[in-house]
Amino acid sequence: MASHKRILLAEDNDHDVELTLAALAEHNLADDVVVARDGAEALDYLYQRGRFAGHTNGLPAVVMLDLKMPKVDGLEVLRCIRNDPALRSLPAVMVTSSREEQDLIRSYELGVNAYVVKPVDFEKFVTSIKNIGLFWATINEPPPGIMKR
Amino acid sequence: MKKPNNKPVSDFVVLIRVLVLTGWLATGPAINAATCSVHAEPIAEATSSLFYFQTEARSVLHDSNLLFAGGIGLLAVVGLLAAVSIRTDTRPAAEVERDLQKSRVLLDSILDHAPALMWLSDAEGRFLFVNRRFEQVTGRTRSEVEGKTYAEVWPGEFATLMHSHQRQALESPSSSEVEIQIPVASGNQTHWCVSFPVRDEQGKIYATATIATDISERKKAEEERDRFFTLSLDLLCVAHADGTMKWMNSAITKMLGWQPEEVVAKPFLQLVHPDDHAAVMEGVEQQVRHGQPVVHFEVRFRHKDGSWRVLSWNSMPYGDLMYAVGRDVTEQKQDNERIAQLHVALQRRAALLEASNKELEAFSYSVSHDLRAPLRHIDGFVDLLRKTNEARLDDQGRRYLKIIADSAKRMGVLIDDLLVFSRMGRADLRYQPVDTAALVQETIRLQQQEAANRQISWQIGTLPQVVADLGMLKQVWANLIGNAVKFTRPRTPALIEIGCDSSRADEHKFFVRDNGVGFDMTYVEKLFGVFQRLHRVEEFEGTGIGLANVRRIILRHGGRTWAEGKVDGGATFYFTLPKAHAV
Repeated sequence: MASHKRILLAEDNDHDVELTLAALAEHNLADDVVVARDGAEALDYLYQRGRFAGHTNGLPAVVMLDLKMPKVDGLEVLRCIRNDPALRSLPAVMVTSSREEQDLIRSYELGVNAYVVKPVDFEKFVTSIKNIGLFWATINEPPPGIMKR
Repeated sequence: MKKPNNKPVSDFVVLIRVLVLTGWLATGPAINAATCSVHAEPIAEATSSLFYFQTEARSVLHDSNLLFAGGIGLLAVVGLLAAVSIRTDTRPAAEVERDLQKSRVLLDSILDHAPALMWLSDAEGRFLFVNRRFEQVTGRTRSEVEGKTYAEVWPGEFATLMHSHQRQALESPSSSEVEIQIPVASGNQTHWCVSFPVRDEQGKIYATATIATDISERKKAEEERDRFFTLSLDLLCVAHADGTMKWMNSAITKMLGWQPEEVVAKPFLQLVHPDDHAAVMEGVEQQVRHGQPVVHFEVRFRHKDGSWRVLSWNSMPYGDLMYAVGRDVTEQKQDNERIAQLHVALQRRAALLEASNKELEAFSYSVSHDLRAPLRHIDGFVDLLRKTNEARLDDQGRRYLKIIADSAKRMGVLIDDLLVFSRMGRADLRYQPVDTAALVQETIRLQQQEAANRQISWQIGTLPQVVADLGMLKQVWANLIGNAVKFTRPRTPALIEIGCDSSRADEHKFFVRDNGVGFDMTYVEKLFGVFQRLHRVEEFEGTGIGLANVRRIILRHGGRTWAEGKVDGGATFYFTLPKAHAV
């Protein structure tokens, strides 16, 4: 199957990447994921530049953003997306360890579509990630111009 | 008028003396021309006495005794008439005698109607003559006193004083003045007495004339004013233009330890701190040169004990004098300095507190983000290990993995609790009216879902509406009611009583009482500590953060928390909320 990458995962932590992919794999969504190792890479992917220059995957159905990342953090990526008319409608979900009020406030102010706190309990973590993946990549009707499986 | 001798010329001399002089007083230079043609001797007599009357009249007029001034005016008119008649005195003796008689009647009439007390006394102090005013005021008739001495009429202090005053008048080249209490019908009256010697035609002094003006009213006013000055806590001060002290009130003794007489006639600057001389001079400069009406300055003054006091002055010039009011502001200054120091210290502490709050926030933010991730990884990879190596794991291996995973999860819960606790201390309070009864009912409903198969008897009293942060108060009730449900687990039925005592004016006292396992009062204070528990997790689950949160929330609302309990005898938890919350 021509893999259309429907999930852009911006996550700097290897273990979290592995656990997230493991969770998504339980629902056959792992192949749909492209991983950016920080905010700068995530933007590279969206603008098809740097390591991702010339990719033909189009825009993802959802961007899963870790909040705290080196170089460009999740909030900064979100701001860039919302400030660009071409990306403005892109669904973006914060997936983070923190439930600090200031993070919630800033994320929603910047127009995040969802905010999910990664549970310590792996079973709950798997459920959360699966739900995000299923909902945004398969259930949700994306904005025009973004392919759906 | 009883005459000291019968020579008409003597009477004439007296008459001329009085009339000419009084006339001169009113007409001034005009009379000089008028007296040119009068007989030389009386003129010499008269001019030698001019000075006395001038002084008298001035001083008396200066005292603003209008009545007396009126009398002087009247005498002046008569004097002028006499002067004019004397000028043309070239007539036969009979005519002169007739005029003289007329003048004598006029003089008697004037003396009797003068509003001042007037009398003549001889060298021994015997009354030779008193006027009608004298009789009216003293209540002694002319016949009663004439020929008697002061001592015979009024034995005591007055006589002594009058004698000495009279002696002075006789010795003095001009008139003598004294302020004296004259015994009058209604007690004593203060009079201003002017006395001068009276001479016969040979120039020999045969009597003393005294004119006494009632200055009681003025004295009373002065006393009232002086009392006011004495009462004043402020230093009232009059200084000459050259900077010497002219007068000051007694406040200087209280304020600076000096007696007024120690300072009067001395330079003002002598008491001023050398470093402050410039400030004083600048104030004087502004006033004198630039005519600034009121000048304010603060300078240090030397106390008699050697210390320096800060005096705040308001000074105003009037004529050649400087009027100033000084107030001791030393304490005020010190207080202000202390307040300023405290303010600086407070600001420093506030800045430190803010910095430490920021650090705390950064710390808990970091905890929130970074500490939970490794725990998630432990749990996640333990799970993956179990799934991928199911066949290879024996029971012991599975038990170990479970312990690792459980520990990670528990640590996750502890971190979450700690973050909540930290947030309770930092988050702003959002006050709003809270219906306690509804809030308690809602909390009970949530708790009963977890304790569905238990028999709990709830007893809810009347609960008032309060003003508080709803979210935080929810936590308080959830913790207290949750604890009551948890620690009554071994009881059937469990009894939980919730109520409030609002009898105090300033606060509501809420309580939650149960018949649960209770606690040992020895450890009562541990109950409210962070992660402090009196039971093992196996007995009753929990991290031990709940009551710490309750205490912190109630404290932030301005209330108190405490508990009473007995092992196996149940527990009661109390908290108060102020009726009027501080916004």
